Amino acid sequence: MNLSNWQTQLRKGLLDIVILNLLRHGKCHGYEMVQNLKQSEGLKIREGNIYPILARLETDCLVTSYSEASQDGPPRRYFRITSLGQKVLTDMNAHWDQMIESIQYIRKGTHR
Amino acid sequence: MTSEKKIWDNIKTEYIRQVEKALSSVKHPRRKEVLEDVLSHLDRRFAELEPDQQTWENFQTIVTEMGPVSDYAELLASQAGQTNRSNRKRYLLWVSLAVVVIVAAAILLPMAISQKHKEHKHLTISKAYWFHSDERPRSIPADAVPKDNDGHMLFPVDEWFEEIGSTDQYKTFLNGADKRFVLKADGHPDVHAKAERGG
Repeated sequence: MNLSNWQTQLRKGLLDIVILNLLRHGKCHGYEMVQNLKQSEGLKIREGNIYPILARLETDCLVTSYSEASQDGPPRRYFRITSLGQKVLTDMNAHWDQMIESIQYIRKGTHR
Repeated sequence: MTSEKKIWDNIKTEYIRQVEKALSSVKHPRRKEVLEDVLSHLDRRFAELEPDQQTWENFQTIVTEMGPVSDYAELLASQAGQTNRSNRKRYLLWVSLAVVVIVAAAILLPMAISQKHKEHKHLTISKAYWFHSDERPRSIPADAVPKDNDGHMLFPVDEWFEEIGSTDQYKTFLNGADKRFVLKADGHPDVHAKAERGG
């Protein structure tokens, strides 16, 4: 098994929940999100990956975007989580917690 | 424009062109936004380079860190693609069904037509009995001929097309045959008879 491939696929699969959690704390543009993720161990993504995910989340009405003038360049597109996105994220986080707990049980050999 | 900037512009343009090409396989309404965001991101990365950092190697690093162009289509299509796949599946199912119907029609229609036009060329009378005898098939009602009406005989024939399934199969033969015939037996006078189609 190629560990690097597994890690890449895992990161890709988790991008939706990661991005929504980043936006839970306020508006953010794509570049800024990438910089945040670069500082998080294990979550460093391929920088371009964030844009198709954001486009998909926006199509699903989980995030919304708007342009805002920038002091050092062209206008930036900011993203913000919607109320639907908040609800979906709550469910996703709950599911994530459940998964982590179950994996921990399995690792410890205490699962039924 | 510096020569480094020109080199960067070429690398950036080529990367964007490849992303655009990769995204063309996905029918997603936000493809244009993705391209604009990627372009803006690349510009931002370039703007952060100090003049002495503007080298071909660093430009390549930026593009490499953006990830392979195939990722864009894969990530954007993770839902749209499923829809496309699902539509494709449904389309293939309909096409398969249509092919089966066409093939079945091509096989069965000529058979049905040939069966419809299948007709007896000859009929073999192997038996004869009076209408009110016990041998009359139950499908022929007894009251079809009054009991006191003598002279009615039944002539079952051997030939039968199961696939047609009704006595209509004898219609063409009987319509084309001479219905008058003569019953002969040694030591008995000839009896003139007329054929009718029964059940």
